[in-house]
Amino acid sequence: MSNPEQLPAVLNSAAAQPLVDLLKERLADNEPINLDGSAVAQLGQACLQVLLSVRAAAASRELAFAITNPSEALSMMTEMSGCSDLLQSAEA
Amino acid sequence: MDLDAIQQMFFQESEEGLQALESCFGLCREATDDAETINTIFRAVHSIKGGAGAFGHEHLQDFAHHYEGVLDQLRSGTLAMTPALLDVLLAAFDTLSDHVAAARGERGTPDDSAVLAALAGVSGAQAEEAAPAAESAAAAIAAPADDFDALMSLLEPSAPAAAPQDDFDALMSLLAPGATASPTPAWHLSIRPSGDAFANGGEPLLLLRELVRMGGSKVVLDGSTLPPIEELDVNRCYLGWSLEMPAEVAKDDIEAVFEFVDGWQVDITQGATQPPAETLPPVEIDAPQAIEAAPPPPPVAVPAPVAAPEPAASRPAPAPAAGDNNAAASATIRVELDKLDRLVNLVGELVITQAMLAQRLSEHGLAGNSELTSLENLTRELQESAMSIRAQPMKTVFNRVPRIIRELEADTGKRVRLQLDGEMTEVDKTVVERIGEPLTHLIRNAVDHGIESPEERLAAGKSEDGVLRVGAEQRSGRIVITVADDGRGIDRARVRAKAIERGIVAPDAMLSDEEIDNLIFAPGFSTAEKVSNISGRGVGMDVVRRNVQALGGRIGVSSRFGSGASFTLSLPLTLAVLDGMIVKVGEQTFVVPLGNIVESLRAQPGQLSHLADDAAILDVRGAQLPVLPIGALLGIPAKSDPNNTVMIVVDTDAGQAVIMVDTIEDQRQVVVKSLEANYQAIPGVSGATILGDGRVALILDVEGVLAGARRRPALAA
Repeated sequence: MSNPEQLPAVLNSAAAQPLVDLLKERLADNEPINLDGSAVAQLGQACLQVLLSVRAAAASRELAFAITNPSEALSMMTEMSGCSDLLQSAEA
Repeated sequence: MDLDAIQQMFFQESEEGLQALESCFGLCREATDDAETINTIFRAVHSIKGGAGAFGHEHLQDFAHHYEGVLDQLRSGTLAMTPALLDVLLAAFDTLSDHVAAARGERGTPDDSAVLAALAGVSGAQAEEAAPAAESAAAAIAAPADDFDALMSLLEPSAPAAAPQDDFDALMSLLAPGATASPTPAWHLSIRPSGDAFANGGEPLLLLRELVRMGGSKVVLDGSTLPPIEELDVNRCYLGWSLEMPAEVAKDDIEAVFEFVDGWQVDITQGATQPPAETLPPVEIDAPQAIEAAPPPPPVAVPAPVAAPEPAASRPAPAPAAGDNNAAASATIRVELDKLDRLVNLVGELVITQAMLAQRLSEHGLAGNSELTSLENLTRELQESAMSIRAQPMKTVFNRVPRIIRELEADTGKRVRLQLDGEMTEVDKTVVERIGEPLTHLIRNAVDHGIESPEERLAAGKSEDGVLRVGAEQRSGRIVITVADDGRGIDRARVRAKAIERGIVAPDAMLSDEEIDNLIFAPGFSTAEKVSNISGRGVGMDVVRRNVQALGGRIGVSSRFGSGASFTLSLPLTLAVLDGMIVKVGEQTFVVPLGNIVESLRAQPGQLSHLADDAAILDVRGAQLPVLPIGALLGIPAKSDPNNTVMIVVDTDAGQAVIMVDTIEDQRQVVVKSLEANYQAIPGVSGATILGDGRVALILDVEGVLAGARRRPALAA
């Protein structure tokens, strides 16, 4: 698996489009998605649904999807929003 | 929409909340309140508090917090409603209104120490205990979505005050599997934010977080509408949730979380039989290994919650879903008044142009064709529709009345039972805005001068509480507002004596009861034995009459000594259009408001008695009415031979009179143009209009013309 891509600290609505662009690029290159969540301090729904949709897209392409080293904030928000499994898929 | 606009929305909703409170307290005063009344009061205060906190209005938030504490005790049955408690709640309501006004910058911060002490007195220690929980629950409930960053910063691990470890642990402990069994699940929530929930910085996760803080558990994501990444629009909201809330949380509190969002589908059902979260399939965005074929399996939505079966008799009526409420709310929009006024002005211009077109066609023998009739009908319909947009219920004025009464009761020691009728009667916004002051003065006058003290009333065989009825109704195209009390009525002997003493009437003047009653509207008249801070400064009733006349209205009074007095204000429904009679005086065209006209006639020989100068008296079926020769009064060369003129009998506050004009040309609706705004005020003329042939016609102010005529020596008596 490639070196993890660092997720930004602030994953609010404004960060959603850059995140989409970045991850679509990875998908287009047929690269596994490996994200480092250690720096994430904020997570909003716009980015959450991007991550969920990209995970599904990666799955459909049989690409790995993983978010590693989740920060407390990231863990809490995914747990709270009923998608803690987002942090569990680690390999393809 | 920026933060200021959202704050304005908060203020508007606070005003609506305060109006709801006033209505509910009205029920409490009449002892017709129920549990829902108290709940409504609580919700309104709770909502104001939440918004105040979000926008940094600390004084308002703090006061609402203490107020809410007492209301919560009342709601839970810890406190029982008593007259003494109601007095405290009403005083707190008035102070809350003042705090809202202060937050809007309309006044300084009120001194609330006495009311806070009273609230503390009735609530005791329990309020203090209840307060922190209520505060924490409310803090983020009404938080506007634009405050997203500030609220989200609470999650920043680096911010010392933002996300303390224990806060995180507390939140996580709520989510831990062991914790889910502890609160009794009573509410099942299904939440589907609107597609544009991110608009204006909205963040649905904040509301979800608030629900979890309130005890929500078993959160299950619904990603059934999440599109493939290629089709995903980052500005659209696709996710929904279901979760359970403990029985201890009131449904109102859950609903309050969604108070400031629009278009969401929120279903709150009771007695959920939702299987535990761990047995539910999570959102199926499968791990890569599970994928075998190219198209990813569609995510599975969480099954709809199934309500526990209940006996039909005990099943509460299905509560309207928040989505329904939102649908109802979205049926209205807020429009800037300027835009509305522009529309009304344009429609006015259209009416004038249509009249001009009709006139021009008529000159060419093309009058009466069906297209013109259709245009006329459509224009009138359009005008009525445009005017109805400006119409507002009198409720907006009447809502201020209970507080005025409370203050008067406190100042005078009198007891007043208020009856409000016709609150939903609609009238033009300008009238609503300008009727408040005269109405307030009439109410103050009624309580100060009319209604007796409890002791006097008992001695007179009346109930201790005086009754003040304030009503509004539409009658013959006008709005009639009545302020009636069952007090002592007008003491005509005293009024007459005062009028003579002040030189308003001659000592030997022969006056009818009606004329004596009307003396109270004379400038400088006051019957108060001493000047009070309520009324009785001698500037009252004449100012009231002037203000009412400025609105194109009339005021009248009827009274029975010992039984009460009734003031009647008759106002036009709108100030923008007017039904009038087009008359000619010499070469000039005037409009006489139809509302003033009683009849028109030609004087028969012997009907007219000439006085000095050009003044005359017309005998109309025995009534001797002064004749107002408009030409002479306004300095216009006109016919002076009564045999060739038309007599129009008009009704005024000062009684009937006759206007003498050359001819009557037409009767039609005209668009009123302000003289003050376009030129300057002219005595005897209330405005102008443009006729179909393009000429400007002045609209006669009948009251003003009569007042001017009475200053002439011959008609002064």
